[in-house]
Amino acid sequence: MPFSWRGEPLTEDQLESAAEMAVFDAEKLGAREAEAYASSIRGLRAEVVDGYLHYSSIFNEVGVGIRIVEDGATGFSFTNSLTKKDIRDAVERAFHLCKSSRPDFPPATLPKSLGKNQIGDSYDPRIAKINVESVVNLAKEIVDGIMEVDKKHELHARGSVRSVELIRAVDTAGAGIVTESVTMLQGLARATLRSDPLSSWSEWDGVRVGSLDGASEGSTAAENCLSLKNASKLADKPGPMLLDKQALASIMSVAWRVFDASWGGHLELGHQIGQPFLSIYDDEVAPNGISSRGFDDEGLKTGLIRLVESGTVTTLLTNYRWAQKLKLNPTASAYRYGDRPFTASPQIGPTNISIKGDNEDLGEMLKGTRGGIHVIDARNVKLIGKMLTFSAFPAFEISNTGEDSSPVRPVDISIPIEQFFKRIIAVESGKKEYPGVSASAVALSSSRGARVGVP
Amino acid sequence: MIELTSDALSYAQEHGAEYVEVRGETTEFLDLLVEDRGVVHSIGGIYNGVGIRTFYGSGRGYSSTSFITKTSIERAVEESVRMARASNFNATKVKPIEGRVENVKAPMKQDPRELDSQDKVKEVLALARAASKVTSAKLTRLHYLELYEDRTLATNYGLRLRSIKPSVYVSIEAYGDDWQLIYEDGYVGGWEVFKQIRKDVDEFYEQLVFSSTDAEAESVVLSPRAASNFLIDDVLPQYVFPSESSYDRFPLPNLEVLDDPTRESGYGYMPFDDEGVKAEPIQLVASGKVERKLTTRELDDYGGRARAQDFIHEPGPANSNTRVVSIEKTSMPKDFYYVPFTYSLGSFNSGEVIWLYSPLTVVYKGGAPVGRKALRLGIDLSKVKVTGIEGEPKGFGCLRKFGGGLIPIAEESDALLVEGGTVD
Repeated sequence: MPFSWRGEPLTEDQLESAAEMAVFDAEKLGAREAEAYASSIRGLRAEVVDGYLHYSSIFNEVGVGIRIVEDGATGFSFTNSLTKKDIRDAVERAFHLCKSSRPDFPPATLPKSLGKNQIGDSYDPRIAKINVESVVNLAKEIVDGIMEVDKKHELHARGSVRSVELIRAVDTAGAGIVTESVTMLQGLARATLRSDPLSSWSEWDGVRVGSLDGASEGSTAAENCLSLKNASKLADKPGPMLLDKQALASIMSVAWRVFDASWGGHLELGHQIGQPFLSIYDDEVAPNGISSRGFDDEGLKTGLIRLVESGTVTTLLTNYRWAQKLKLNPTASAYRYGDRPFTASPQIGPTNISIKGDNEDLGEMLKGTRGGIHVIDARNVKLIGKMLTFSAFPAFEISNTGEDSSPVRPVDISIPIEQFFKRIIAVESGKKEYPGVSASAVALSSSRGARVGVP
Repeated sequence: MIELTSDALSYAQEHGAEYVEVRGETTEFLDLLVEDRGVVHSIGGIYNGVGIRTFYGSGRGYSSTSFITKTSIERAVEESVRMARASNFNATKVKPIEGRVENVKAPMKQDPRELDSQDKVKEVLALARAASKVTSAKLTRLHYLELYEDRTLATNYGLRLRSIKPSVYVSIEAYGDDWQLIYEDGYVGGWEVFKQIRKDVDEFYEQLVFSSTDAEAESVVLSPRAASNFLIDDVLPQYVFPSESSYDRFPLPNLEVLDDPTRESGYGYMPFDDEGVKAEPIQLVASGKVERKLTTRELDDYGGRARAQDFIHEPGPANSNTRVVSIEKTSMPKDFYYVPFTYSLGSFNSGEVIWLYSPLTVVYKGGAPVGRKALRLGIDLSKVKVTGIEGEPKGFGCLRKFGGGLIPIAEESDALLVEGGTVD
């Protein structure tokens, strides 16, 4: 029997009303600038382990956050109760906190006009209709995909799927109101060797948005994992490295910080960070993009952001505040993170990072990186200061003929972040887009100079 | 909230759930971001919600809502029951806990919510200024977090537990050419926690007032705080939490690890866990062997270490008041890196090598400090020797932010000497 989880009483109209009520109360209190962000998130999660539905849950989070700016200082408060009294209390708290804060420099202000891009058509319509039953079935499909490949039962099979529907409304006094509803789907296929004492590494995760092909995710996970049974230890071996799409997505999910205007170590505009063929974009309205959205979390209209063109940094990601601080045009990159975005003031975040290059195909790139390693995924990606560290795994040696040969144990890589971009010698613009990064793979000229840890 | 939880229990039983747990939560929250010139950002708020876990046969379901209306909660109950009926987790059946009523309030000497807000800001600002003196950073930023959690757990077998837990947390970041987290601490209690942190920070930074150096050393001394970070974040999880790849042999045979939420003087005092199981001490590691694991009642019949991040999440295993004690002690070396505070870069190479980052390491030569440096440190568990240090005082370890709340996970641990097996 399909589980109905829709039809909850909350609608975009009700969220709009809550936001408007908060702004109205703030103005009544005498606030010169006020903004309300109201959100409703409904999430479904399901995990299937070795054929059984192991875990499933639903969460439903509703609330409104209020930001008040007065004489350049900011106060923020929130409530998850949408009654008139609780909203008014939250507004009063925000006002009080604003009075206790010092003016920022330059003085903080809020946007003067809001706008919205249309992205509705870019979502897979099946995702918008997903329910608990289909989330569970998708998790089962992933596990079936693993078990289909794993004829000898050598693997633990795990499939997890998460669907999130987000409705949000941003109302800024005198600037307008915008609302939107989007749904996102994430899947994870995990195959683990039963016999391997180091099996915590013998996994392969997949994340897809806009695709409901769980069986394919599962079988890829199983094939990758089974190939690791006889993974050899790799001696300390500097050499070229081919980063496949998933590895690149994992790395860029951390490395984007170098384009974050609020981050102390961000790159400078006009700085040459890569070869002339290299371009990096953040396409906030990409069709089927994992994070596509019509406006950012301050209500500014989104679009295509060209971060790097011809190897040169051309734009930094900003929210409204950081654009003011650095005297830049806002890029509409405000993000309120977490399952309760109404509790957070806007930070900066990327949406759909893509790396464009010279369109080499994977075969050519393998030949160009022979003698090195082909990295399928990157784990434990961290940016410590300006040093990028990650563990390359799963990874394969690339033979002298330019083909994948034997799998290798995890290789620890540590490389200055600027060197990472400088050493990109080729980028495959794959036909199949990958969430987070739409290029399929990049090749690094050499990991020489990067410290390879202990294999 | 209590009335709503009772209604939810009855409704779940009407819908056929065999065993139902209802979690209610109200959390008050104040978050200040402070730079040396003042509070640059402040967030205050309250959130509440209800989580419903139901069991049916060997299945379970979990549903939560922060939309506190009768209709919304009933809807969450229905969804939870349906999911329980549809699932099966390894045929384990969670047996109900017998009913009892208990109310626990964590000790708090001074409620920070009652403090004059201007006075509070003044004190926090003074701490930010003190911290900024020790760094050469262009900007020092302090994050002050104050929480007041009020949770209830009710079951259809008569369990009625309520726990009130205030906590205070401080982190300090330095922004120069890059970003560094240079201090992080916090624990259960009221404003007195902040005062204790202020004292700790002053003492902590006194050890660190040195200019930078390129000098190198062979061995490493981890302060109790750093030792706790290293063991509890990176080493123990592979061994004491049940997983498909957990081991029985512990790679550091000189260490004993005890987890004891019953210690009332401990910051992690929890007389019952988030499934309602009465707490008891557990010897986790002894003589190079993993003696027991930390579990919930879904994982074995005992459980006792269940912690729920908040009402959205189901409880999972977590430690509390964990102490790391060395059974072998050695004297302090002459040349060493003193690591007062560290954070994890992750465990690479299948957990054999643990990578740590220590932004404020003091280098000692001939027994005297010669300067300070940032250190990235790899500890190879298969090659390293770790012992306690004669005469070094025990100290408080680390505490972790866990969702909206704070969980104290270590205290009164030994400082440790790490020899051999380090790579950089």
